[in-house]
Amino acid sequence: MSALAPVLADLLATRRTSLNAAVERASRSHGAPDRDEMRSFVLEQLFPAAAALVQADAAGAPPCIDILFEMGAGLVAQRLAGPAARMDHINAAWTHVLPPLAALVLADPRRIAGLIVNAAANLGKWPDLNAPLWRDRLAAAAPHLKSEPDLRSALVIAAWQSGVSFARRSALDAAAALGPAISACLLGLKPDQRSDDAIATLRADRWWSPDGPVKDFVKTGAFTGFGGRLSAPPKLEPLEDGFLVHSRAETLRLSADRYGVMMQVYEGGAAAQKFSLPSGFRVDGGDLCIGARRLAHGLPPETVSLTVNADTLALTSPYAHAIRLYPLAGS
Amino acid sequence: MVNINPFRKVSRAPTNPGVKEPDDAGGPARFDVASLFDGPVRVDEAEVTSSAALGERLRQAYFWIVNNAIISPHYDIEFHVKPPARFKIGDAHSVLTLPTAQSYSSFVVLPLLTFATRSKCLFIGGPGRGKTASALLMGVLAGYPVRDVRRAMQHGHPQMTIADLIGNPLPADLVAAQDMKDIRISWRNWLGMRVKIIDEYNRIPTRTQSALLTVMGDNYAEILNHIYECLDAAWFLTANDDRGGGTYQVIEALKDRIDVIVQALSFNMRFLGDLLQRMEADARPEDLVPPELIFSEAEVTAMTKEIRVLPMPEPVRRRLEFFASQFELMEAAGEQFEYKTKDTVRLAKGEWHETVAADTGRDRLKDLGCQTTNGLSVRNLMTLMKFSKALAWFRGLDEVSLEDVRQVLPFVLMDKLVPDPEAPFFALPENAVYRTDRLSWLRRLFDLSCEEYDRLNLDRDDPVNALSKEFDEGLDGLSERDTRSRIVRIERAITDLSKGRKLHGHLYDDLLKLKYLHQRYTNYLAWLASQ
Repeated sequence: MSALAPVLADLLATRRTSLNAAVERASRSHGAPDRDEMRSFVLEQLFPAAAALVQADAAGAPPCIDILFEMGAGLVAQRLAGPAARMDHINAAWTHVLPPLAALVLADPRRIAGLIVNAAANLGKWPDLNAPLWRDRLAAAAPHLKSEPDLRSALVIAAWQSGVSFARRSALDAAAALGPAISACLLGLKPDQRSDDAIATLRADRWWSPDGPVKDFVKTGAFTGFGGRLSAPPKLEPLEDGFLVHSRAETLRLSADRYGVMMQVYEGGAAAQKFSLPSGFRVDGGDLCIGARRLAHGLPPETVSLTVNADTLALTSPYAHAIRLYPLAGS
Repeated sequence: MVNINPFRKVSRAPTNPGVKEPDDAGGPARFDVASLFDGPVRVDEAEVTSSAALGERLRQAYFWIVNNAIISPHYDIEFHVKPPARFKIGDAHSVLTLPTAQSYSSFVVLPLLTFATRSKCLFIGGPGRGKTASALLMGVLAGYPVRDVRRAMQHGHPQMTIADLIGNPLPADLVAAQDMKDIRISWRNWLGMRVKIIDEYNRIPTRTQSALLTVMGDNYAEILNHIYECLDAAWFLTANDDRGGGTYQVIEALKDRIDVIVQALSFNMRFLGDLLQRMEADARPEDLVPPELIFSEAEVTAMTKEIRVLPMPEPVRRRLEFFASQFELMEAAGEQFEYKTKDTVRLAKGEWHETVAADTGRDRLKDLGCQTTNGLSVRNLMTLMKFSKALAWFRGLDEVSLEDVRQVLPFVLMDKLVPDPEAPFFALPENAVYRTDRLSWLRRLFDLSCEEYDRLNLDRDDPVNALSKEFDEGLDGLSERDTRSRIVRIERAITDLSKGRKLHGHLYDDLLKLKYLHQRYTNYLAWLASQ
């Protein structure tokens, strides 16, 4: 990077006119970016990506840098990138994901960089996602990605791994279609784990991961007054792959797995189903008994209700906004 | 950092901060894997942007036009979020209202809604008030070069022939052809455009107007058995005077095809400095439309669809029904109940004033139907609902509000609902102004209708609506006993409604609806008996 700095500085100086025009184009849509924020963005985010482009193809890089510069100006003006960015995801995409994808970016800079930036911006809309994991998995897989469809698949898998549980099925399909090396990087497999086996296990058990199963339970949902999602203690109905969550007048669809829990507004389409509680699960005073194990739930025992679907037990109470999710498999 | 041409500055999003963005909609947005790739960067130039983004861009287009193109906008479509400050000015106590929410200039927003819904808009007003320039801007927003829009604009004139308007057969083919189908037609280019502009349409001769009517109404042109199917388009027509001041009288059917009428208001001399600046810069707005404000064909199609499916809540629809039902009844026009309408008088070419004189049953001052000489057509109502939805969509609402209907209504019905100047309402000194200000009259008419609706407590107690809803649940499995019970309830409702009350327009529609329900149940009963 340090050896390339003069090269990049020269590049910016010689392409001043076209870069200013790029800023003007971006300004028409989003207003002019703040001068200091833009300078910081160029130094901290654009340079790493630009340096990788120059290293990959010194002759082909300048027009691509123009496009990235214009895109960056628009993002800085919207406070989506740069030092005043409302979220870190997009800055991380510029510094960690774009550089190892230089070859792809050179082929179609607007499209490839746009896909990555948009995916990063979408992650920012969902709280509690594991952004560092998203960044690292994509960075690890980047050298293996040879085409835009590969990149799209990788973005879906990385989003799921970082907590977008609704993408589970699409991500597993994408992982099965990608090569084993890419899948292994994106799923975080250990060297001794085969990707085919891992994908089959992931399909069969939503609470499994290569890092091991969930410890005891996962807690989700909280009172809106404390920044949560539920305005009233929830009532649940089981779905094949999740739960319907009724909270006051609102109905949400809950999807959970080993990587995250998400709720979205229920728009119909999935009907509640009936599942029977497996033997060995019962509430005994302040504990949930799973076979010989006893897990404290800390709620008035007479108020606790259990809802079960194919692979998860949910514990709720009218005295709590939280929902506790217990994996059935392996319990 | 860079010098920005002031004429190219686009208002920064969000232009209406009250509008919910997809990611701050108060809850988690619906997830779709494909949506992972939508975001702040437009990846594919050709891809259609989301509804919220389209709405935002249309608002940006609006603000660009009012800030740069139209020098002195008038904010005559007023919205409020709290009671506004009102000032009574002058001896006549003219009221100046300062809106408390984002309000709009009808001269800009209605053409934009016309553009977004591919409807038909007529600009009226004196010469040099920006009618043609506004129409031109709409063509540029659709992505056509200014030069093409100018060339495609049809200028009405007294010698305009059908060939001038839609095309002509090739002369060589006319001589050589052995069959009509061998004659090739040279169609005019404007027929294929997504924005069609007819300047001074009231100067077009009557026969040519009929050809124009076919294109406007049925979307095709025909010469010598050859048909040209036009694309769905937004139409913009201009007229110096829509009330008979053109060279030719505009045929009624053509007038009826026009969806909204906007009036170009006068120039505010306080803005002369801006006009001077523009003159000195030799800047023409149509040449400076920022590229990001241009909408692709797919985007306009997406906007049209979004607007069409925007919900209109039942309480709003009911008030619109109540308003529209006021005008058709003319009790003395016919003997049979269904024919007691103004249309019956018109079709019989009866003397209007004689029929009015015979209509003695109701308070002619209070009954809103007495203020007009006609009722509303289905086309008028469809347009009204479409533009109400369009305005609500433009404002970023999830559903149509009553205020959207109220604001749009006068522009849709301006020449559709014809006032009866002899009506007692207009004879009152405080209502004399409505003889000339038709927009305010129509808005007042709607307000009076809503007041009456409230007085009758129809939001809470509407037996006809209750019976209709019951019927809408379907007849499947309905027993004979229940059917008879419903018939009795309908008959009782008719008795209650007609008890001691004058026949007003809304009551007339209610009674006819009850008759319809009665008939459906009677037929069902007969079918049940045959099983």
